Formats: sequence, C-alpha cells, structure tokens
Amino acid sequence: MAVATNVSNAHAVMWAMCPGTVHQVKFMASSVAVTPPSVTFTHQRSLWQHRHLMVALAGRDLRARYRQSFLGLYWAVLNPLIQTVVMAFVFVTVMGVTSQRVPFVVLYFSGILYWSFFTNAVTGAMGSISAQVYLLEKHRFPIAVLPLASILARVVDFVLSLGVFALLLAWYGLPVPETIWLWLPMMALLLLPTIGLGLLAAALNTLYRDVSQIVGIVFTLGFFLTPIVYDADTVQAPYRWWLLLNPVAAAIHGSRRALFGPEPAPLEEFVPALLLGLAILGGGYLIFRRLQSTFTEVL
Amino acid sequence: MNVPPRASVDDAIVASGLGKRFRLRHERPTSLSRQLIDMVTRTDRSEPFWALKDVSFTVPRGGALGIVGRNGSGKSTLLKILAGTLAPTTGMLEVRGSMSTLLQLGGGFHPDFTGRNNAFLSGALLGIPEPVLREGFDELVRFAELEQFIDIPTKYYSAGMLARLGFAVSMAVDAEIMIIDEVLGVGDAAFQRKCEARMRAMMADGRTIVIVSHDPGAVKTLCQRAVWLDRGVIRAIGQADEVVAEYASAY
Repeated sequence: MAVATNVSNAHAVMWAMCPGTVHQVKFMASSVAVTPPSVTFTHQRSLWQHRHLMVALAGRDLRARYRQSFLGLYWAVLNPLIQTVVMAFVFVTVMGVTSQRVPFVVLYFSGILYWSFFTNAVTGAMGSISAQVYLLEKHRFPIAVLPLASILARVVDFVLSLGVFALLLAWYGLPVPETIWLWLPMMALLLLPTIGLGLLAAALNTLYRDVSQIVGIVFTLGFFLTPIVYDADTVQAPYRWWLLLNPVAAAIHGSRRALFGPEPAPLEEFVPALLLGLAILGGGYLIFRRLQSTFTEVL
Repeated sequence: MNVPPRASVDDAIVASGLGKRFRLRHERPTSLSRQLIDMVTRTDRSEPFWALKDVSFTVPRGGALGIVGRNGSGKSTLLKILAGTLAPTTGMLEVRGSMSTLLQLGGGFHPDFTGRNNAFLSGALLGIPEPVLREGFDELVRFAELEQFIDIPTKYYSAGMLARLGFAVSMAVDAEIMIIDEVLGVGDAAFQRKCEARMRAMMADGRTIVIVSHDPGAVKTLCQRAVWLDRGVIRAIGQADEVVAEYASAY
C-alpha cells in the first residue's frame, strides 16, 4: 500500500516538474474559455459591389492563360474541334454509328460545347483560390469573387466556341430556327450547377488536395452519363428521367431540341434538373460561406 | 490583464480581448481518408498555439497608433485581424469607417502583369472606383516614381519599386482608416520622407492610422500612442514615446 502511494506521488512530482510538455500545453489551452469572436466592419462591400473586380480578374485570367502560348485564344476553339475530329473518327468511321437528325459531328459538337464549358469552369474555379492566395492575404473582399471570375472567363471561351459551332452549322448547311433563343435559358440552367460545384470544389480544394482526384473521376463518368456522344431522345424510360435529372444533360438536350427539332422539348422535362441545379447552387454557396474564413489559415 | 477599453462613439477601432489561436499541425492530414480516420479515432494531431492573447485597445477617430514588437510577437497577426483578412478566435473587434490596407509589402502583385494592370487590380480590391483611379493615375505613378516602368511586368521590379507602387495605391484610396504594415523599412530615405509627409497629411485630414514597424523612431515621430506586443500579449500601451523608449531599452 505504502509503496503504491509512493510510486504515484513520485509520478505526480515528475509530471509537475517537466514544464511545457505537449500534454500540459494542450490541457491548459483547451481549458481557456474561448468565447466566439464578434467582428464588425461598418464598411462591408457586397459581392455585387465587386462586379468590376470580377470582370478585371476574368480579363486577367484570359490574358494570363493565352499569353506566352503559341496559338493564344485559338485554344478555346481548337480544343473542342480536335476532340470532335477524334470522336467522329472513332464513332462514325470505325464503329459506323449513324445519327438520325443531324450529322454525328454536329451532334457531338453541340454536346461537347456545353460539357467542355462545365468541366473547364469547375476545374478552373477549383484552383482559383489556391492560385491567388497572394490576394487573399492582402485584401479583404468577398472571396467568392475569385471562383466566379474564373467561371466568367470560361463563359468567354464558351462564346468563342459558339462561333465555331455556327461555322460548323453553315458548313453542313443546317438552318438555324427561331427557337435558337432557347439556348439562353439552357445556358442559365447550365450555370446553376457550374457555379454551385465551382464554389464547392474551390472551398474543399483549399482543405483537401484529393478533391481534384474526385472531380476527375466524376468528370470521366459524367462524360458517358451525359448525352454527348448520343442523343437523349434515344434513351427510353425509366432511364430517361434519371438522365435528364442531370442539369448538364438537360441543358444539352434542351438546346439540341431547340436547334435540330422536331420541336422544343416540353417544359416539364426540365423541372427536376432545375430544382437539382438550384439545390447545388444553394448548397455550394452555403458550404463556401461556411468555410471561407479558414482559407487564409490553411493555405 | 490590460484594462478593457472604454469605447466611445468617436472611436474608429475598438478591439477587446482579441485572441488568435493557430493549430500547429505537425503532421497535417491533407487527404480526406486520413481526416476521416482521425475523426473516427478522435485523433487531434494539432497543437494549439496562441499567437495573440487578450489584446484590447481603442483608436480614436483621427488618431495614430503604432505597434512595435519583435519578430513573432503577433504584430502581423493583429494587423491582419484589423484588416479583416484573418478571423480572430475570440474577442470583439469593431472597425467603424472605410478602410485601406497595406499588408505585406510587395505582395499582392502578379509578377506577369504590368505595374499598371496590378495597380488597377489592387485599386479595385481596395474599392477605388475605376474612373477615380484613372483620373488620379498619373499622380499615383509620379508619387511612386515609376513613370518609366509602369508598363513593364512587376517581375522585373526591384523590392523598392514594388514597395513604392503598393504604398502609392494604398494611399490613393479615400479611406477613413489606414492599416499599414512595415512600409517605412523599405525605399530610400527620400521616399520614406515622402511617405511620412503623406501620412501626416492624411492624419491632419482626420484619418485614422495604424502602423506596424520594426523602426521605433518612425513610430515615435508619427504616432501619439503605441502598443508593445510581446509573445502575443500587450506588454505596454500608452504614449508613443514612453512605450517606444521602454521597448528600446528592453533589448
């Protein structure tokens, strides 16, 4: 009994004598009552008040990307074009796929146009914050400006590739119907998941480096689960509903029907995709807001 | 324990009990699976480190506060919290008025873009409307003494040139509060005098200034009041010349 007491006493003395061990520091620090901070800046400027900054950053993004590159801005156009040529070779020449309403090349290009925008925008937004930490450390501004500016730059790329698509249509002698205006709401539908996932990927990428791996896998699978190399109209129920739940798929489907006919797709086909798109946008924004105060610390 | 500040409506900055805890991660789990395993096994690989503890002070409108202290005393952490680029862990901060900041000299510029492009982007970040910046741009360039170099990429700039451009842009903001980190250490004597003159003019204009400096002399000549930070806590606070004298005699 006595021995046991001695031993435990000795242990206690030893414990007290070694100052600054990790355990002690840990214990003391966690016992400090930490009340949540309250920070007020009377002059807070909103995201909307930073729109000029967004445009300036997007312009910079475009210039930085195309400066010191041999073909410059043509890359935005060349990329989908090269992909289209390879795909046409594989599907039409090798596999003998025939498409019904329009030539395969036109069908494919109308899909890859949207898909490229979506994947490039999300990828760009994902890296936009870690690439521009030097701005975060120096200035207080709504950090969402960075991924949004990066997405805006990809919108410019998208518009450029629309020009190529118009040339392609002219080459095949395809008419452009009045219903082409439906491309605008389809583009808006596509922007919902693009911005939502862009913000989400940007926020998570600052914390975990494997986010880019996950995004890569999702894009590879998504390519086949989105009507790019095939027509959504060839997909039958019950799969059709699931296919069109994907906002990117719905946007491609809607714009193809608007352009190639026979008539614009019915409105109710877009409701699930619209709701899902809004949910992704809202969720992505909320998670971004939640995580943004930690960015300057982890980077 | 320092005395809690008596806040008044005339204060531009009120800080009370500000604390910042960093987590020193010896082995940072950067992968999601690692994080999940740690979460399940309740492993905390971090060690808390308080870079700033119980810092309280007020700066009246039109006042100038200097912050002195050795490397690692928490000066920059405090300044970042005031500037809003870093969130405090605990405490209360109120910044009343528009603000311009100059943190990390020479930082914040993209090396591949010209001085002009970088100046406009910094201006946009600080909230200068573009027409205003455009109008005052020649004057800004003259002040920074960069007439010849404004259209070349900033990667070719010297440290002094970067510092001058950064300072000139920050000063171009029509802000009520200026937060300035260590500007007086860079640039030649003539430019330093120009900076000091500019800051004096701004103070005479009723603007509030907070500066951090290694140079006790600059704090003494520019500020009425000073704070001496030592390992994250306020060691002394009061009249600038007294605090600076105490700080200087300690080392």
